[in-house]
Amino acid sequence: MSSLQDLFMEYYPALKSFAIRYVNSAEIAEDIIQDIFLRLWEKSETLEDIEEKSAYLYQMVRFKAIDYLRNKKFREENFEKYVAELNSDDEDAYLEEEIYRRMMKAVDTLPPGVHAVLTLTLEGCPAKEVAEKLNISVETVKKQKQIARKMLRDKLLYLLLLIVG
Amino acid sequence: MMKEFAEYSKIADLLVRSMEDALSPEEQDFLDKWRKEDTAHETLYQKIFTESFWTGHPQKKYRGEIASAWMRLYERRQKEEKRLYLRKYLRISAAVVVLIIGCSALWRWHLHSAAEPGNGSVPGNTNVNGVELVLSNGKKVVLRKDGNHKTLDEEGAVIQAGKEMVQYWGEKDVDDLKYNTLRVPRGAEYKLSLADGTRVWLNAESEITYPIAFKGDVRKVTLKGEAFFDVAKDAEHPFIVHTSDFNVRVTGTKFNIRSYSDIPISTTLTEGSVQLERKGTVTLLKPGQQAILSGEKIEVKEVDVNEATAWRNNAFCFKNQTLENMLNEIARWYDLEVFYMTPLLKTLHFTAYFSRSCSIEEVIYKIERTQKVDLELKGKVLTVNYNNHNQ
Repeated sequence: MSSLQDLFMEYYPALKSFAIRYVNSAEIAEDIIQDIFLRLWEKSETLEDIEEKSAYLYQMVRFKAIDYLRNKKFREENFEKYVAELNSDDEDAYLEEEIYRRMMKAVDTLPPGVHAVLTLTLEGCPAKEVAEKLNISVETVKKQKQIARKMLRDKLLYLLLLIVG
Repeated sequence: MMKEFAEYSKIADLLVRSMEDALSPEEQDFLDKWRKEDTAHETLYQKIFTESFWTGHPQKKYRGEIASAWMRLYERRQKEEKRLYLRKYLRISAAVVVLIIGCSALWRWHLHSAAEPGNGSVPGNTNVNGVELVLSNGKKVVLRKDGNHKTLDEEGAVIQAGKEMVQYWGEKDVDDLKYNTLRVPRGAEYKLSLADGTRVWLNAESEITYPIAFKGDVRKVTLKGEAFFDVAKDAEHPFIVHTSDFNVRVTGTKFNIRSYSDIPISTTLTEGSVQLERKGTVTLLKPGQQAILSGEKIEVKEVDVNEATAWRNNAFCFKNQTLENMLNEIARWYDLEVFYMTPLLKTLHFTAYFSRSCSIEEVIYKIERTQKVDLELKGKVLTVNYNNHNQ
């Protein structure tokens, strides 16, 4: 069960954000994700055999979201048109969520001090505010960002830190 | 539809790696084609290099609610499991025959009295589901729940069960072996006295299957979880404990077996001598030694037996243990679920000692004093985070 927990922890924010794009409700999105993981739990599945876990999970969410919309809201005519529009947005929705998720996954591997600084920075906090919130000096904040840069050796992070300052 | 999402997943991978400047020329070409084939693609490509994409991302707020979302899922799962359980077992009634007992146990358990919880909202050893005893005909009896003594009837043995232990008096000359199973849930511990006088202490989340009276050349039991054995001496009838990974054979001795699924199986010898059997190879242990299954090999090392069997002295004893192992033990005793905000937390090391009579609040306080982690307890879910107070 703990690997199901790991899976949930890893994908929950992304899947919820993704689901809301379709159903426009946090509660419904939550229900959808719960249903999916309860089913996995019942069957003791951890998706070990499935290589494309990411694709599988998003696909399940989309399936249930469409189901919900079909049952709740739309008459036949409107619905088909709506689904057609949705299809063209699928890729965009998926990519926006997945890229963010994968990036945050890399950030999560950083050690505590660096992690704290980076998380706040990525939320838009300027260095001074980060320093205040964590009760450290601005110098330390800058140093932690440098460490992050070195550790991830990642052009994106370098870019990000450039953008975010 | 599945195919499309699999395709999208590949694009996501390329995009992330393009930011790392880690694309092969072919991959770069592929990505450039993708960008050109649809204006929406190019828009997205540009978008991910902007500050606002990252600082204003909708996914952000859901990262803060993972723990509570998991708790809601867990609770819903508990409700469903209860429904299924009730449906399954509602029809089985415990057949308890009350006899007048003239004799009582002549010896006493002189260890600590049953570990009682400390005062707190989540104490240890209070699992309300009780300890379950399965008789040879399949009937299930719940022990300990009401604290009353019960006397159970099985042909070939007299069984007396109470709040802390169950005792068997076997009859001689039994016709064939009949087995009972004792199940101790998370958040509990229990004691068993077998027909030959062997005493067994069972830790939380453990299960033992044993004959109600012994017959034949060997005395054989099966164990899952953790138990400490004080085997009654009988050189002519070796006592064998069978676990999923190895068998332990003794004639009369004291040892601890730890066979949980989340750690390597091990056995520690305090007195006497023990023989480990696994897939044809035999390993001998002397007192003070511990055998631990490491991959396919059995490693033997000298240990401090008090440390290795601390649970029997009503204590937790962790020496440079990973947080994951430490919290798994604690979770078993207090019947909790543990949740880590970051996987890396599991690898932090701790050295700690506390009494199993502590309340969970006291345990949390002691762990937080190390200033390495923050622990938050909500109901039965323990959430672990880095200590962000003093950087």
